[in-house]
Amino acid sequence: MISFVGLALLHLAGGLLRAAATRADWRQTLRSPASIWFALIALYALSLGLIGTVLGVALFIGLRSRLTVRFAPVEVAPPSALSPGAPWALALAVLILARPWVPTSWDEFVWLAKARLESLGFGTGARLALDASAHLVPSGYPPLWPAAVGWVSLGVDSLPAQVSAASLLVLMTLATAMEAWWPRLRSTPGWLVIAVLATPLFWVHARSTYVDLPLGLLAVALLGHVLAGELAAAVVLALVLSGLKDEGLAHVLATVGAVWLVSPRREWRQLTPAVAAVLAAAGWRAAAQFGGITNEDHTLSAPLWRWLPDLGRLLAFHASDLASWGVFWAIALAVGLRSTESSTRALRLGLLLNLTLSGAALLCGPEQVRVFAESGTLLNRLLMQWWPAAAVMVLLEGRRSAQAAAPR
Amino acid sequence: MHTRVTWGLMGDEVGTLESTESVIIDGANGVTRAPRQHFPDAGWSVGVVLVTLALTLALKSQRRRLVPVLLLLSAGPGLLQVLVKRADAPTRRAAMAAQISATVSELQARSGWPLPVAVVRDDDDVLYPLGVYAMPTRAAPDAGVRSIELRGTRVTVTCRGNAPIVCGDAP
Repeated sequence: MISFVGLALLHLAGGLLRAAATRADWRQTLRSPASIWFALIALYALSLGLIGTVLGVALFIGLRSRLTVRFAPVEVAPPSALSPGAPWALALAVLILARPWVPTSWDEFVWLAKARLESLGFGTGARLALDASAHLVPSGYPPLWPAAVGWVSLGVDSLPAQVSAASLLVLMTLATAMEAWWPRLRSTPGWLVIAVLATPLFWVHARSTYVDLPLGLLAVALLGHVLAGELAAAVVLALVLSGLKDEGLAHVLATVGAVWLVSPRREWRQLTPAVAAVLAAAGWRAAAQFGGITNEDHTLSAPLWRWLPDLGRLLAFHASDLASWGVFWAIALAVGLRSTESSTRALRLGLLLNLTLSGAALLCGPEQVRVFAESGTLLNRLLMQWWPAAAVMVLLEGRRSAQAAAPR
Repeated sequence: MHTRVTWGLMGDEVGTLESTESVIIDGANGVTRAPRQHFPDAGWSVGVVLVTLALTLALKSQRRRLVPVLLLLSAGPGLLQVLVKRADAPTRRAAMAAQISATVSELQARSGWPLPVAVVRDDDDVLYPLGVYAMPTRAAPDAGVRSIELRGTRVTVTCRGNAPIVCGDAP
């Protein structure tokens, strides 16, 4: 219960902060799920100490002084338009939250262990992540996800509070993605939505506190905001992505790069989220190195080109894992090959760029990362990160086909 | 953030994640153990996927209403695993949660975190993540503080002794 209170408080703070930073109507920002990320990125900046606070204030001033193209939040669905989908959204939320609030898989314990640190005081997670003597596992990872779990659970050190907080954050990432794509997907056939959501591994991750699905959902939300020209939310989401996991930076670069490349009118301002994310990630890396912390999973060296065929084989096998994905990836690939619609082109290019960046990271990464891929603990989770963008692509194409087939 | 590969079948039916231990280790890596087992049915599944790809590419606009049907039919076996067979399936998850809660409580009670504690031994990936949760920060093994050993490959453990505290199988 404490986590629901924490989420409500953070959302309220985020809505007001977003309204102040972007000069938007506060009643609108309070109705937008994306507002909570404004509060979380502000807390993250504060938790990083003086430098983070200064950067946070600079970000606030930058947003307020019309750094971004426009200020209204992305088109928020009016309550009347939401009502047909509300029971389905509620059912989805219940299915995600209705789990015993105990972690069940490996990384859940590890993420929630770091969330416990916030019970020792605000900002302890970030401080100890930069302290080699704390021996955190794994070392060097950006600490936003576990810290956010600690903040939503209001620093209460209990397993149910932390699991429910993380589950609520997973739900908020889903709501943020749905909000960003609502204008383009509102008339999508219900059966297609159900069929896409039936992907089995989606349910495993939606009902866990892993960060792979949230990363993908926020990346696809970022794409929606950049396409809509709503760069204030895009900058904040890009910063959140870079603070969740190292792969978050790849998502931001791929997403922003894709929109920039397909955009008929390229503006430098569209690259602002990528610049912000690169600075944030580089800043974190520098701080970690200064503290003597290395992220052993993500160090880079010369590419091992001879492993490229193995990567292709493994990727094909994982994407064909029928129990996990059904034939989802076959259909997503077919849609990607056929579609010419502009949003779909951005999604397709984003996926391609993400695949390239992740492939490069695997080829240039340490041997242990390739061992993880070979032993089956890596690639399905990368596919989970890419699933939201592919799912939106399938939904957009399905909606277009349904409209084309409808009697006139 | 990944697992070391040091575990056996845990008594699972081949290919499934029916035990608590197997879900802890591989529950998020796939719906079944296929990725860990190097995809024993890869030929069949890649064939199905290629046929679906060709079919979807060949479908004319009006026939694309078949796509949701293909998605739903192909999701069936995986959903059966998620909803019924896995140890974390809705009907079985409460029992699994009780088992995990008991062990986490035991480790938390004995480790006394946030007081400094050193983990001087951990055998396997099953207890390892639970130990990380119970002791998020650790002292160096030679720091002269209380030490703890995590032994064995089963999730249900009790702890005994004091120097070091031994949790799991007897030495």
